[in-house]
Amino acid sequence: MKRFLMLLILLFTISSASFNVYDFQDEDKERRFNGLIKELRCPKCQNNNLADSNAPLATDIKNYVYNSIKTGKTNKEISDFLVSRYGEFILFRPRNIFIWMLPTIIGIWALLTALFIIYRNRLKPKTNHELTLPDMKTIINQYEKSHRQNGQ
Amino acid sequence: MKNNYVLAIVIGGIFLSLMTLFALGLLNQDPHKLNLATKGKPIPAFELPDLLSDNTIKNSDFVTTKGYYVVNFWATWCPECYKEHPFLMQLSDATPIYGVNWKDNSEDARRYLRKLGNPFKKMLVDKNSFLAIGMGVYGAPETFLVSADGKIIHRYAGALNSAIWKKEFLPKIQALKQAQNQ
Repeated sequence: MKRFLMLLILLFTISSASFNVYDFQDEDKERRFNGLIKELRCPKCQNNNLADSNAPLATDIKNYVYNSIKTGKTNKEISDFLVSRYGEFILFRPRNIFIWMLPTIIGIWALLTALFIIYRNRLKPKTNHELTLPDMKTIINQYEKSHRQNGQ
Repeated sequence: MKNNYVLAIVIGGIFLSLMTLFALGLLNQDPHKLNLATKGKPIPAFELPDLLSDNTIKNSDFVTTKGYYVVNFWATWCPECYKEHPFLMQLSDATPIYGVNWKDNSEDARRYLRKLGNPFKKMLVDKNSFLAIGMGVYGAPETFLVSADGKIIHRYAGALNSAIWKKEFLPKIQALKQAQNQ
């Protein structure tokens, strides 16, 4: 049992060691690297981010991100470069503000339409009432007029 | 009341047409195919090893008298590359093709060219995807049409053949020639 446990511990240390291939001296840079590779999409296996992808191209892009951070490039410079090569598609969070605004715009539009319909429905009976009275009066007047004319 | 119907029809019509456009967009677009973000942009400055000599190859080595040239990304691990190779051999008679051997074993690549023939005017090695990322490559094979001054005009991802060449590349070459003549 002891041996088995030791083997298990050994196996886990080996597997966790194999993931830490990107070595940073600076914690802030490491945090930036881990954040960026989670927000960038792998162009080859499109439903994965770079962090989760083992595709050779994803590894090369990760290397690019790693080297760029090490040489002092900002997150924006790195993602700008990758967007210029692969399009906004490479970002999991699109930059296009319109996409973010779309649900709000549709919501406001739906609300305004609903308010407009309610407002008009409330107005209608009043308007109909006002309209029908003079209309009926004119019809009766015209009828009476024509009868009077016919009678003469 | 009548106005309400008109309003409902208009809103419903807008909704239905948007849904139709969305559905058509989904049907017509292969989600695995990426748009070319590097269209109109120059090939990045590079200097990479030559597969067939000890020299390096750089941008200025991509020369043409035709007003355009073709850059093909390939590898021996890519099955589609074997499929398009006979067409590349045929194309190379009249079109300058520069090859990029991408993330491959160089010895395997040399053997491949010895066995199947070499359609490439020059053949560079891109082991770390420097040029691939620079041009927006996401798979192999990929074929780029590039103007004589090094600007990326078009990209086809997948095995190239005569029908695709005629449909996708020839009209762009014609347009390029017209623009160059003006």
